Amino acid sequence: MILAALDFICRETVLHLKRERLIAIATVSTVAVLLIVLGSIVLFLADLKTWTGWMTDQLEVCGFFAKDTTREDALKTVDPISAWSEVESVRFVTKEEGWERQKRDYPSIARLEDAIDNPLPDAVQLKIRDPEQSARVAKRLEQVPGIEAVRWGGSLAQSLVRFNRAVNWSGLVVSLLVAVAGILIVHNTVRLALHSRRREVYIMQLVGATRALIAAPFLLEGMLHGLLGAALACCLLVPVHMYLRDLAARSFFPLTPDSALLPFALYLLLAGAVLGFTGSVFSVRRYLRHKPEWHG
Amino acid sequence: MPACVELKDVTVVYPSGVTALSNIDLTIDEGEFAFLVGPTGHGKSTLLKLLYREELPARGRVFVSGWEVPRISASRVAHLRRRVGVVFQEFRLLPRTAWESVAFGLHATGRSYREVLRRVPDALSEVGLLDKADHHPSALSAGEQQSLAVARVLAMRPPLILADEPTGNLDPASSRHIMQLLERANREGATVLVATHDPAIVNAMRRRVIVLHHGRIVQDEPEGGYPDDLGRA
Ligand SMILES: Nc1ncnc2c1ncn2[C@@H]1O[C@H](COP(=O)(O)OP(=O)(O)O)[C@@H](O)[C@H]1O
Ligand SMILES: [Mg+2]
Repeated sequence: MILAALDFICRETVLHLKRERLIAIATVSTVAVLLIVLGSIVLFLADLKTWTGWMTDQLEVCGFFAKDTTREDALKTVDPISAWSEVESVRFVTKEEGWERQKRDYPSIARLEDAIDNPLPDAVQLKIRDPEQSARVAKRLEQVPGIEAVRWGGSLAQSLVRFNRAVNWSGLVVSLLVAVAGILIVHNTVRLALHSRRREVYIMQLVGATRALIAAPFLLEGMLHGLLGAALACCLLVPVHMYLRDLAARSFFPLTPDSALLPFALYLLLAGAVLGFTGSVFSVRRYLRHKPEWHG
Repeated sequence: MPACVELKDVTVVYPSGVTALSNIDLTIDEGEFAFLVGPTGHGKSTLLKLLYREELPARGRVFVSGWEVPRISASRVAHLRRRVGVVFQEFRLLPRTAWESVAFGLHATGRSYREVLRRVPDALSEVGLLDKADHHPSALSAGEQQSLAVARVLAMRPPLILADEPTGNLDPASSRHIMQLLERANREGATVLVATHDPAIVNAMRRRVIVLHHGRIVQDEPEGGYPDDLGRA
């Protein structure tokens, strides 16, 4: 019985997919366009976040130990510095770790890896409670024995971070708005598609098909359309972003790494499936209750 | 014989204000074959619609095979309708081939493929449509569409068959043939109720005749003919 129902649902879905090409094109392209917009916003936000993180790193006050300072001596300075009231946290960065990070942030350095030895010394990284105090902390850090050089981001970097935070928030609001609008648009597309089939849905009920059995192929169909639309969006967004990232990296400007694009693509596919499915749920529910007019 | 259909003091009022049926009391036993006659617009279709829950009564009670139809929950309606095969006045065919139209109900109610493969061609050939199995309704004449609607019901073998003017678009010979198919279903155990305003088939068969006039039952005879005094409106 359950097998027969599954078989029935699959056959009906295939029949729908074969018959309603125009509807398929409409739904798939709607979902695709929508997810391209949403996906671009998400990627843009992710890039901003990557960039903000990078900027924040620049904002941190960094102290580099002299080459002749032993690691033991260097480590001894961490606790006293942590006690400073302006300092939120202190991270000790070994020269090996620092080198790995450089290579990650600047892939072009990675290509030279074999050619050059690690030129970095051990370092301490200070997160400052209030960026305004960076200058004072920098001065204080210079006094610490063993520290040879201090680096900290200027006020330009500070205001950039504040600007980025604002952009982050407005991006979130915009993407939420787009998502809501998108659900409405997809819902309406599916509803239009179903409108032409309202009689069919009604007749199916009259000849004794259960609502669940009638609805299932429509939901599967909606989900497949959503998945297909999402796949199209991925096909556009992923290569374009990879290209842009590569381009940006050449000017030492880090964007979201390619490895993050796989989960991104999976989320996009999930979003497409959910969008197609929910859009269909609401529409089918409506038409299961609807009684069409008959002439004659 | 237990009652298959039972209406108790049923009144139907459409939202437009039209009272389509007034104070109907009617019992049809299991295994009976009955005609529901009366001029157009006097409530035949409405009475049938009550039995498969397309319309609800304003007052009164409706029973089919012991179920109180207006009280069946939405999720159980499908189960009622599987037991009630309807030849609709407007045919109501799915936009699919003749074969698929007949097969749909069988698949939807979980029949095995072997069974579907046997029953669909049987039903189609009985109404003379086997050679048009791959035709869509739009490629069939009105009479053929009507025959297809009959085949769809016969294939399901429901215990109760409601036929709403099933010969309305057929020539006399085809009409007789369709009526023979319904009679055979009746012999095989189905209760059959046929709404019609065609005196020829009613008079030829001498079965129970229930006469509706302005939404009231005005006559009910066990072996009647088509009443002479009913204008065909
Ligand atoms: N859906 C409807 N809405 C409003 N009035 C209706 C509807 N269906 C039928 N009627 C009215 O109810 C009366 C009975 O109709 P019906 O049962 O179709 O008669 P018959 O089948 O005997 O021709 C008619 O007056 C008709 O106009
Ligand atoms: Mg009628």
